[in-house]
Amino acid sequence: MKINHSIQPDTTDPAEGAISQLIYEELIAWSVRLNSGLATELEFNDFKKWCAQDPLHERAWNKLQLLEQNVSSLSPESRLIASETLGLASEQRLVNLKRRRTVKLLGSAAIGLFVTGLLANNYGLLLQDNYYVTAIGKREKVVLADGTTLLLNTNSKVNVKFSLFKREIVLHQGEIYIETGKDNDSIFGRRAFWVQTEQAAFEAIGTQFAVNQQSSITRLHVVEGVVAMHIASNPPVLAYANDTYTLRSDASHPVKNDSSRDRLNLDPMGWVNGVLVSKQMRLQDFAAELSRYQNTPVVCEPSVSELIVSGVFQLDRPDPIDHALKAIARALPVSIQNQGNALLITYHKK
Amino acid sequence: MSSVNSLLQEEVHALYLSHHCWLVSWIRRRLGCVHHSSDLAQDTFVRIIDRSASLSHVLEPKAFLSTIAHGLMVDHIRRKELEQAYLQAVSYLPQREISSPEDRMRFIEALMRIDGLLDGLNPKTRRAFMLSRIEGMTYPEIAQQLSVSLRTVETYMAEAIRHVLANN
Repeated sequence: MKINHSIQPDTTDPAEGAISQLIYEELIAWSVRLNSGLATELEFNDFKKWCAQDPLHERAWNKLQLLEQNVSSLSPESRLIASETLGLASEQRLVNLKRRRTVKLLGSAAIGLFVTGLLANNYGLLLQDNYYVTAIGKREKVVLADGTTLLLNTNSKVNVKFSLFKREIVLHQGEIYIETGKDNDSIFGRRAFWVQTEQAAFEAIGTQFAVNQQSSITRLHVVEGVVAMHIASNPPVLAYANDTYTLRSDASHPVKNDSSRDRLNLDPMGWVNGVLVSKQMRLQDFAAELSRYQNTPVVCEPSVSELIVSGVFQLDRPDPIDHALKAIARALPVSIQNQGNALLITYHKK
Repeated sequence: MSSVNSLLQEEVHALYLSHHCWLVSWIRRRLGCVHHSSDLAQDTFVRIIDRSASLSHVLEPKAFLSTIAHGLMVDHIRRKELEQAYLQAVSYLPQREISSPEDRMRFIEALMRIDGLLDGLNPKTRRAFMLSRIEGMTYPEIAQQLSVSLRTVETYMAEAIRHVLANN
């Protein structure tokens, strides 16, 4: 993406090389004034005189008109949706940029690390075969030898297997977020990058994405770049930035989560930024999500399981689940009862 | 067919024979899909035929091909971003949905060009420009919408037009 601040002459038209920076600046001043909605007929006439002063003035104006035509040629009916679409695309790019900048360094606590040295396998010698495990309620960040950043969420277990020709992460359980590294030091050039889960294998290059493996469901969310989803021997399906897919054991192809159906009510990237973000989530689903972060499960009585939860809940604080439950108890007609082996959410009229 | 054109065709043909396979794998390693990669490789060669006068200046064929292919991949991803934003926009403005697929395609093409024109502008400047040109707002209206002064809107507009002239 080039950013020029002085206007380069159009090299296909030698005469245009004569249009000086000064002429362009005058043109810009005219254009700003005439499009303000405040210009008078006198000013429009003055502009015509300016054009007539010098053929180069006219030429510069024509160049600008040609470029502006890209916008002015939009049909009147399509203008509103054009504006909205361009705005949304621009916002989304900003969000993606911010996400990259704010992936925080997570606090360090115990990481279970089992190194098993060199092992022979199908892909030649394994150069690295490490397990990373997080305890319940803990999140960890690891930087791998190829430059990949790996974030593990609560109660997760991965096996990182790098061989001469391939980089593979096997996600046994839990949730991870990955920013793939450039692999500059690899002898045979940048190696393919795979994440293996129970339901599917994901291949990615130069991307940022999150994978969530729970019982018989895998969820993939792509932040940037492209991930190819391989299920059994079916042709791979591509996931692009901002796509979220659900893959189940009993389905042969991935299902894309979009706004009209199967809405993902929990922001898949919240935990990476130290928060849980729920949007119109069923209390039962939210309780199940909270249970992932502590030893004592959170359970709902059927009478309240359909209540809706929306909000942002901090994970980066002492007793995050306790705090979240207190917030829920204030907002909804429920109370939390400690049953010893579980926390029970019951109906409580306010 | 002039003799210049047939020389180019020969050069492209030779390039294709020696590097087409390599290009498909190069793209596939970045995109992860064989189907899309063949398409993009073909598009790369088509673009070379469309845009080049001759290939005699090309010293590094792999660098040459991968640069063009990379540009096409960026376009491809940009297009996907716009299509997705369009779907989201339609969900807010269902009555503005463009019904014919050909019109929709042309619409996205037009947005790609506008998006390209404004690439690199600050978000506020971009927004001001779009409010002026697409929604036809006057500067006082834009000033109110963005909660800035009239002076600031004029600055934004000057910046936008300067950017459009300098980068296209």
